[in-house]
Formats: sequence, C-alpha cells, structure tokens
Amino acid sequence: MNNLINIDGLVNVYSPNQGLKNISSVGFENVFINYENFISMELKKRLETIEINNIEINDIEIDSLEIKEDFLKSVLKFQENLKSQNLKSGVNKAPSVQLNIDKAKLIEINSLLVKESIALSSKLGCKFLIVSPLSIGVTKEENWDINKKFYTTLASASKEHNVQILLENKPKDLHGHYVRGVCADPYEVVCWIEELNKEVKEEIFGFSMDMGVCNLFGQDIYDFIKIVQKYLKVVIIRDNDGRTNDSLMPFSAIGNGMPKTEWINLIRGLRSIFYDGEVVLNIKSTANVYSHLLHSTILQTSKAIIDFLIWQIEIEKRLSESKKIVLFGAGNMCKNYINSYGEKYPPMFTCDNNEERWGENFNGLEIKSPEELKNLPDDCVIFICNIFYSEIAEQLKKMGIKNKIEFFNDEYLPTLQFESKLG
Amino acid sequence: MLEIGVQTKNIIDDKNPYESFKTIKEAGFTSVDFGLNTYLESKYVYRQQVNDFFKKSIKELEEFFTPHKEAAKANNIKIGQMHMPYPLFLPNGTKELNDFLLNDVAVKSMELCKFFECEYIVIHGLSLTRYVGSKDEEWEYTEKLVEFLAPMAKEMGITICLENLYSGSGDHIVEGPCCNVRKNVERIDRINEKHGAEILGFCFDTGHANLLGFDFEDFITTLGHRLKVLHIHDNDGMKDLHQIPFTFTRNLENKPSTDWSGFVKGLRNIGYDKVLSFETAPALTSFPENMKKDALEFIVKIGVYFVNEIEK
Repeated sequence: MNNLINIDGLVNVYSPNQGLKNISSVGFENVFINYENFISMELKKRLETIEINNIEINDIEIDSLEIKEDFLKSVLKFQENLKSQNLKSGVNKAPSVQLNIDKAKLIEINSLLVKESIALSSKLGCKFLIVSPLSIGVTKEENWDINKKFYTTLASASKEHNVQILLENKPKDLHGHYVRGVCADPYEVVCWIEELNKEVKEEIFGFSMDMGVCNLFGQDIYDFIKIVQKYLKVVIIRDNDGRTNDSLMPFSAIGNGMPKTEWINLIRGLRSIFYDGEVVLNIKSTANVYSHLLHSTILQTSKAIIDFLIWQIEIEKRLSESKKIVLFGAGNMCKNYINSYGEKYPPMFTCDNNEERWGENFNGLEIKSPEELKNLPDDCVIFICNIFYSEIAEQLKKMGIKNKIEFFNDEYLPTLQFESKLG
Repeated sequence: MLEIGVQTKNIIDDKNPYESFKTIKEAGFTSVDFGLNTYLESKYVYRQQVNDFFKKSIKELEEFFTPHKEAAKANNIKIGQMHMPYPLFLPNGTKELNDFLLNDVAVKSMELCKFFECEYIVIHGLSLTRYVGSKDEEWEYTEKLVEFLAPMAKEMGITICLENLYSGSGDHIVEGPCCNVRKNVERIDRINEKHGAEILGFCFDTGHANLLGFDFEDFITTLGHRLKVLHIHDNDGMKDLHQIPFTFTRNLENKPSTDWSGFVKGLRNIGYDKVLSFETAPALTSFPENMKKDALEFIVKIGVYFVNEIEK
C-alpha cells in the first residue's frame, strides 16, 4: 500500500521549498497535489464574475488558451521543485470549476483543465487523477447526463498518458447542512463507473473514496468499501467532527472521550478486501491552525499515524502470508487472536514466560516454554500477542531466534465477542 | 387517502384517555402512533433495569388498555401504527433479560397490536455492528428476530415495520440498522415472499434520515410500496430532537436545513396514500402547557400542507 501526504496547508505552492523539505524529512516519499491551488486568484475572480453577472461566456475576453497558460505556468515551476526534493506523486487531483453557468461551457472549461492536469500528472509518473463530478448548478435529473458528457471527453487524454480517472464522493450543502451529494451513494458510484467504462470501451475510470465526506453523514465506511471495492484505487484519510468539512489529523475529532470517526470501520473494511491501493493523508485544517514552526512536528506525528493505520489494515495480509504461525503470549490478546483468526490462520502453539502455565491448554492452544521457539521451522512467523512488544522482541533476539517476528494487535478486531444469544 | 396522525407520547394520559383522544381529535388528527415504548423506556432497558409492565398477563394488559381503545373509538381516531419497546436484545444482557424482551415484551406487543386492531407495528433492528463486524452480519440477528415474530404477524394480519436508525460514535451520529435502502428492499421482498404475506414493511423516519444526510427522495422512491408508515419530525442535523418540521435552519439564509422538498417528492413519486404521522412528542414539552393545543393544531396545519404538496 502506498502512502501519500496531501500538500494542502503544508506547502506554499508559489514558494514550496521549505514545505516540501519538511515533508521529505519525516520520511514521506510521495505527495498528493491538488491542481486547484494553481488556478490564480485573478482567474478565479473572473470566472465568478461570469456567474454573478450572468454574462454570456462568449461575450467576455476569456478563452481556453488564457486559462491553459495561466495554469501551466505555475504548475510546471512547482513540479520542478518537487523533483529537486526527490519527492514523487502517484495521485493528484484536477481543478474543478463549479459554477452555475451554461453547461456546455462548464464542461468545456473543466475538460480543458483536466486534460492539462492529466498531461502534468503523467510527467510526474502519476497513475491516478481524481476528477470531481460537476455538481453546482446541475440538477439531480441532469446529473448523470452532464457528467457522462464531461467524463467521456477525458477518455482520449487518459488513454494517451496512461493516467486513470477517479471519481470521488461529494457532499451537498443544503442551506448549511451537509447531505449526500453526487457519488455519495456507493451504488451510484459503481453504476456510473461501469457505464463510463462501457462507453469508452476501456477500464479508465475508477474511484477515490474520501472518508471525510463519508463521515459528514455518518456513512458506514465498511459497507461503502465493500460495495465499491472493485473500483477503489485511492482512499483519502482525514478526520472531521462530522459537521464541518475539515481535514483534521486522524484521531483528533473527539466527543465524550470517544472518536467521532469510526476508524474501526475503515480498518475493518480495508482489511477485509486486502486493500492494496493508495492512501492519501489530508491534514490541511490541522496544518492551517498550527504555526509553520510546528509543521515538522505535526508531520512526524502524521507519518506515524499513517504508518500505524496501514499496519492495522495489513494485519490480516501478514497473517495470510505466514505459512506457519506461533504466538507469544497467553492472555486476552491471544484469546482475541483465536476468536478472530484462530480458524482461518491456526497457530501451532503459543508460549509464555510463566513456567507455571507450560503445558496448559489455553482456548485450544498448548502453552509452551519460549525455549521451544528455538526449534521452529524457518518459514514459521512468531506473532507477539502481548502489549510488551519490544521487550519480548528483544528477549527473542537475545535467545538467538532467527524467525520473522511480527506484532499482533487487538484494538481493531474484525468482531468482538458477546455472551448472550438471541432466542 | 392521506391522513394526518401523531404519536401518543406526551399526549395520552392513562388516567383519562378519553380527554386525551378528544384533544387529538379536536386538533384535527385522525390517526395515532400508539407508543408501547413509553411503558418500557429504552434508557432503562439499556441499563438492564426493566419495570414490571410487560410482566402482566396479556389479559391484564388488554384490561389496562381497554379504556384507551374505547376512547380512541369514541373520538373516531384510528390506531394507525404502534411502536414496540426497544431494544429487544442486549448483546451483554443476562439470559433472563433477553428472554423477557423477546418472549414477553415482543410477543405481548404483537398481541396488543392485534387488540388495538392496528395494521402496523414499528420495531427497531438490532444494533450490533461493533460486535459482529458489519451491517450484513448485524442483519442476520434482526432477521432472526423478524422470523420469530413472523408467524404471529401473518396470523394476526400485522405488518412489522423496520425503521432507519442511527447509532453513535463519540457524540457523532452514524448509520445504525436498516439504513441501506437497497438492502432493505431486497430483505423485505425476500421475507414476504417466503411467508406468502406482507409481514414486513418499512417506516421512514425523517429525523434519523436528516441526521445522516440521506437523499430523502431517493430513499423513499426506492422503498416504493414497502413504505407503510412514517415518523415525521425535524432536527438540527446533529441531535435527534424530534421537533416540528421546518424548525431548523443552519445559516443566515434561513432556509430549512432538512430536505422537506425531497420528502414530498419521494412520497409523490410512490403515490403514498397512508398516514402522515408526526413523531414530535418533545415539541409538546418545549411549548408551555397551555400552548399544547396550539402546537398540536400547528402540526396538523403542517400535515395539511404536506398533503396538498404530495397530492399536487
């Protein structure tokens, strides 16, 4: 699984060196670029004027070439800086001009910007470009038809540059209340992508799931992932309080001492499909409120968090790749392993430092002395089922054990046990 | 033909049901949602502190509710729908408690539904995702519950209605049971076909839908004829406040932040012709006591507005 950090809030795109340096210094190798940040304020204002004054687009001096030049100039300069910092990018996002204007012109402007973004992404070796569906000023009834026209205009550029187009889930602002917008329904996502791919006769459309959007409506992320799994290429990881569309550092939105975001459902979902795509961490809002002097510190924490999440998601993958398994520990974590994974990935035995328990049958597993680990076959992996991970790992190394050592963790189990039975 | 109803909570006085139903009638309602859950409140069930109400025999319960039934009839008010107490299963509850919830509370609720000659009873699906891992696994338990009640429902001619529910993560509202409308449709059709009767239907709760930012029109339209009853109420999108529709705005534009337009369109799309039932009991306690009648009349006026819009 590849991890990327969204540069929003962390890098000034017109003076990017310090921000990019901070990012690479904590170990991130890939960044996510939102090309929207490269549309100049001047151009944005002029586009808004078109909408406000209801001006016929052809009556004002704004043409495709101007947009293209304005956009390209700043992006190309930025991408040179990126290379000089040895940073790469696997996923980017195209600008999206969401104006309530003539639909043909809306498609034309957006199509132009996306095509340029495809070419720019290709220069960075990107495989994916997120392209938002057009939604502002588009009624529910015309949603599909307009977006179908828009997306199909991108097919040839996508094929030419070998960059896959990813749709994304969007919220809709209902007078200050976020409700489910375009592609927020996972069934709609699957339907749109299948229709688009059929239309262009190639698998060039996929999906990027923004979990921050799911969280705004308390959507069951596990279910969402299961429904869109075939087309899921990118997961945007960010936190928010479920009310404002912020991008906070994960685990920072808390209510009554509990996370407001169902991290357990995200982990369970991605783990259940053995997700191996891209994960993008977006901490824009958190970065914006922290002083630039503290950005290195929050980036360090962010890197640790994204590594932790990936590690949690890949727990079952590590188990499935282990030909033989023994456990270390004979307490609750071991019991939880047996309940959740015992049947699917049965361990040979477990061991414990407490010699009084040697020979005991613990939930169907024999508890042995750690000395027995010296006789393991080479392809056997030891999973430590105890929170004193590093101490036990150290003990095993001192014993001269050469087998691969992994940590198990029961904080985000696929199921939890309960005693009662219905009926 | 569309009718306008209201939940009995905060209106019905068990000591004088006739006057209570008269108040309902005078406000302009023709139907009620009789809440059995007011006799065994969920907060106590979650604490595993249940009262003795449902330990009464069915004969005793029928005797208790006979004045209510007669009062409703005398005022020409239909018991259009009922609400079963909930939850009906606690994953970490004692066997004794869970047996009581199923064999006494659920069974006697069905008997009372028949006693009141009511066609629909709303139940809550079981909220177990955290334990069992997914909504599909969770549904397995709710289906067991439905299957347990199904023979009674068929024999009594009652349709059990599942409701879209929410759950909590911290103080943030997240999807609970029965929020996936496409799966709801598949499950209702499959179970009804199996039993050869309409034993299962759906109750669309506008307040819960708003908390979860649902597309009202899509949800209702997809449900179609399976939609049997409604819980109409409003909130700020953050807490399940059960207030009067059109109460909440979220910015200075001062337009409703609940998708009432989608609600009307959805009901119009499916030709809904049953009861527009308001689940707005808390609104009655937030107004002063001597404005209760005015509040009820205002709710009826909103109901009339909805009727006119749906029938346009």
